[in-house]
Amino acid sequence: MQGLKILAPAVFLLGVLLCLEGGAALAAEILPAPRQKLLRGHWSENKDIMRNNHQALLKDRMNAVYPLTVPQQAVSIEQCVTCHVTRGEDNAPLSADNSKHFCRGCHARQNVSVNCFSCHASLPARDAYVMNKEVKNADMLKKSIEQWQAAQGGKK
Amino acid sequence: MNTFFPPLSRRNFLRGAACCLLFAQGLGVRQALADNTKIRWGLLVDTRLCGAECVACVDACVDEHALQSHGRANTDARWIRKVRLVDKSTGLVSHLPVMCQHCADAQCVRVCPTGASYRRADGLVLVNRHLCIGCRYCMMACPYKARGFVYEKVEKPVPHSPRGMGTVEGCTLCSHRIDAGRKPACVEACARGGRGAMLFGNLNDPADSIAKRVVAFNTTALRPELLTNPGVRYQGVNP
Repeated sequence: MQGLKILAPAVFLLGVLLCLEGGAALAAEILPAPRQKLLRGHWSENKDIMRNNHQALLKDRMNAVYPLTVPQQAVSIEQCVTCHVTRGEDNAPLSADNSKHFCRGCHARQNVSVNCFSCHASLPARDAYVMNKEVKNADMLKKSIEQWQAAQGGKK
Repeated sequence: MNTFFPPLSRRNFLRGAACCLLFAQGLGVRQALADNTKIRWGLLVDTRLCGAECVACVDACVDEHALQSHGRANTDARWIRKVRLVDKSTGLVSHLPVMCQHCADAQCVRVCPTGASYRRADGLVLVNRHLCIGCRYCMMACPYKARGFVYEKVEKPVPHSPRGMGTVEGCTLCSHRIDAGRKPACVEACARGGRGAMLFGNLNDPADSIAKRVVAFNTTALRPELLTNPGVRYQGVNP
């Protein structure tokens, strides 16, 4: 009995430690959603965070679009689609029907269907809108990030 | 026994609870009224200028929201329809565009089981398609037949106006344009067509031309007996 009395707290402590470790490992896998980053600017540098959390972020936005008291602001999936444009050979933006579409590429690999584009437009509003300065800059930003990543890979 | 707080009888407890509930509800209603008094978007249609043959508003709506045609005119989605109204006693014939009337007491909002039909603080009655389950109660409840169901796959939705198969839809009074400080597409088209039968504005702003017209002339609501208090009003119609 004496042995049990001594062992019991030790077993309890071991259990607590294991739980904490497990929790920490879990926390490392699921990264927190970068709300501020998403609101303020481009988050290409946080690819993994976005890959894990884009569904939650989109859901948040989906609910934020319809506040009952204030007219809605222009937060929409339209913004995502405007920057994340994939162009075909003729430089025209590709719709979600095309397998090279930004969302479809990953989703096809993971075998997950995208429902968004059964209601939402998968193309930006107008070609002129697509070709404006901001989007060109976003493309340039993407290129520079890719170059930077390549350089990082080279260093390793 | 505590003499300061005598034991409550069941009846007194229920009375107290009912009073508390009524007070809380009253506060909620007052808050809602305070929100609604700032802006209420409305439309005034002068049917004396609106002709039988003109469908500029309908076409503009179709273009704006990309309401594609399936080649079946009777069942194609239309958010505005032209209605021919005959006054049986006088024989007066009027043609009027009928769309969602954006009622203050909207029946569609009352019956919606999921809260998908809702009324914005500025008076627009809209559908949250993320919540809509396609039960079509709102279509049955609407006395103006202003809502429609999307039966078929939407081919090319426009970014500002998402539409989805299996959900209910109706005139949004071009909420995306209103939020950007513009007028609804039908109003612009009517003015462009030279008729100018439609007037859009804030009904709660006494300086707005629509509010002035509503005060100065006898305008009517469709189906006034239902007391829905619509935001769309008509001039030159005997209801």
